[in-house]
Amino acid sequence: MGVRVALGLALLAAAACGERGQVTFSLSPPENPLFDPLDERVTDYVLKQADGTIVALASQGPTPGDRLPLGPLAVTVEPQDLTLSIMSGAELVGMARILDVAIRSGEENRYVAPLRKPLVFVGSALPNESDPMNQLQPSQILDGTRSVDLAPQAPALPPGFAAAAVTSDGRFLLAGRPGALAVVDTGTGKTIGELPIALQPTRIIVAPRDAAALVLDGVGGAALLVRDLAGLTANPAAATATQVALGGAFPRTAAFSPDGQRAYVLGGGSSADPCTAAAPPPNPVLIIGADAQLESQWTLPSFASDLTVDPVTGTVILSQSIANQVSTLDPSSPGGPVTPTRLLAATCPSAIALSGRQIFVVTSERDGSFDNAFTLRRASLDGGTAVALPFGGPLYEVAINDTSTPDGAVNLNLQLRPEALSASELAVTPDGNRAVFAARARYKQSGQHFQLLGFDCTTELDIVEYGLYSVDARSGTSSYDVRAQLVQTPSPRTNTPCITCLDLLFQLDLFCPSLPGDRPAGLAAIFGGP
Amino acid sequence: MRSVALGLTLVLLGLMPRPTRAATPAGRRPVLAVLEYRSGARDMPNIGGRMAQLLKTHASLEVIDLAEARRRMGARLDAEVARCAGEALCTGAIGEQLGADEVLLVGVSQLGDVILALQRIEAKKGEAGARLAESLPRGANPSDQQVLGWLHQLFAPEVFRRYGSIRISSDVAGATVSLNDANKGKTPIKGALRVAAPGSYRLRLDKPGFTPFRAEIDVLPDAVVDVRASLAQRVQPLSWYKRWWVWALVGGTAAAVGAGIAIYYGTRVEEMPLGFIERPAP
Repeated sequence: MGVRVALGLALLAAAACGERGQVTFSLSPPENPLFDPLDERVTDYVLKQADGTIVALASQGPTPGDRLPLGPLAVTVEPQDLTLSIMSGAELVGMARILDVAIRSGEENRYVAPLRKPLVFVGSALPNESDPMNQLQPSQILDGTRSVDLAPQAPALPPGFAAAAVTSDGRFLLAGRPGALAVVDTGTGKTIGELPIALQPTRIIVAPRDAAALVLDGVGGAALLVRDLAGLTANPAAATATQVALGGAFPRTAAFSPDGQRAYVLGGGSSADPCTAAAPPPNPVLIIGADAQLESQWTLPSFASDLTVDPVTGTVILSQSIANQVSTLDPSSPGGPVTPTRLLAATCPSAIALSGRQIFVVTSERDGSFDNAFTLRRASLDGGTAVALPFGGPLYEVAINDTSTPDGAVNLNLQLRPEALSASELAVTPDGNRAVFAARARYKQSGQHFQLLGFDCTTELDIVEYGLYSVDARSGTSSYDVRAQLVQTPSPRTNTPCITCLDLLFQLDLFCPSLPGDRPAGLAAIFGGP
Repeated sequence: MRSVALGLTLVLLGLMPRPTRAATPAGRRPVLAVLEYRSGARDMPNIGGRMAQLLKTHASLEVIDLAEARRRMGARLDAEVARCAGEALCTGAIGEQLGADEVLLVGVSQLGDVILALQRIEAKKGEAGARLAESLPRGANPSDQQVLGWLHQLFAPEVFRRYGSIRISSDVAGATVSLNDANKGKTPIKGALRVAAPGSYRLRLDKPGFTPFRAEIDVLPDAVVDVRASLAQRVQPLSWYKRWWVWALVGGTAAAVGAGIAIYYGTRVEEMPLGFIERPAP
């Protein structure tokens, strides 16, 4: 022992002690206080890897401006992408995504963490129904830039954007409107600029790690690829976009491979809805290479409503509405007819979205838990049973004439329930706790009979409704905002009742008026999705 | 030279700065009470008990399970937990009565499917921390792997017991190897010895006619420590200050580290860097 102590004293000074090193994450809140998560009562900061594994935790100090310790961090061989979650108790109130973080002993590294609230942006578009009497004239479209969870005094966002996506660092919203692709700084809410494009954007997709962005026009049958997203967000007007060869297909949606070098474009156009309308023909999946050229094409056995890609494995995931399943395709499958493999069964699945390793899918399945409930399904990409999250379906109310009290406080209405419901777009918050989707419901009754106060009533109606759902995946509570109710039958051009009731002496006609409006479109969740 | 090498080994092992282990209160493991609260759901019986058992096996926490909690508080425990109805301050107070630093509240309710909510609550302040909620189909019985996965999401990695390895090689065959006084066989030892980490281990190699080799080794989680033990044949010891190389070592430590015996902690000898969150000044 004496030998060791004596030598140690002499050697300590010269010993290779090694600097410990440190990694500092400097929080950078957005300029606009409406988007600032630090204004909430923050309790904890949680640092996680991309797969959700917690790396470190820090609790809020007593005063702002503190330097909060995260503790020792495990050294990493390669730089990795981390997310920093800002918690207020159990609620996620903000996030930052920090790319290429190196944790190495003996080094001092500092990273800026640009904070954002986990907002969901919602734009609007004209309904798909073609009867001009049911459509809003463009001038009648309200500034459809309602954003869920923003205060009413939200700064002006581009009016009427019908397609949107957020960059993977959450800092920019790419908002598409006819003829332009706008770039919005999500920290200030201000539009940085616009890139003029000869498209009517219906979907925008951003590749992982902002490798590229794809702008789809499902109406005109075109698409543009932007490879330099950094250039686009810095100076939108000067950005370049490449026309994508689609071989005549009308794009419906798309997703990128994990490395951003390939895009899978689902054809079939943006308006086809197999759940609430006649079954469309099978649609293709076009595989577009980094050069914006068509590499190959898969022919699906039946119509698919939506498509996404597993960011870990690169597996293509399809919502096969006609086949009543969500299924997967190996990305290495050769071109031509393909047979997807079932991931989970679902009644007419429509929109799908990923949150971490979980997939959410809107279905037209009725849930028996409570009246008029449909089902949002959630399943793990790694297998296991799908969980059903019921949510209350919409209702169309038919007023029965002259049955209300003078003050209107008591009245008698017939309630119609939809026969089917689908979603055109679905956005999920990064904690997987909230799903926001643009819904389309259809009320269809033809020649059905029922009794009403001694009258024999017959129905003849076909009504399409558009609305926006927000479902809490933890508690199952949901909120619904109806946007438009468009009567297709009877024709709005005629003064024809949708329900006719007869008894021996009298006829009672009930009418179904339209509620003109828009439809939600351009849903984009900050940090949501793969 | 062998005695030089042996001495060098002892010096380096004994005096090299040791990697810091994950910080814990001095000499005391954090105490976690696992309590269960049900709201009309019968599915997943004893899920709280299973979680407590998994934490006892896999985590570096002192766990108070339901049985122990009932023993400490008596029959009124379940009524008290039900009365709190998941409220953090109230549940934290129960944790304090049990002598826990933190409570893991396992809530089971049913809304169509079964909803399992896990919440960490700091006992003293009654403040809710990390939370996890899962919906499971009726009748589901999650596997231990699934439950452990949820616990890994709730708790930081250093909470869970982990392992490292010690790979021992020697220039002398037939030496008895012992680790913390437990016999591990004779050299050559095949493969690496798996040990709980972080942890300190006393390594000893003995063979008649040779000076015993001793080393104290700190093992980090997931680390592999290579120990190359060089045993010296017994010779008449000289006073250390008479050896010429002692004074050469004082001035030449950097050269000594780079030459001859190399001892590694993990893939490199290093300490874990510290992380910080910097908030903007008001």
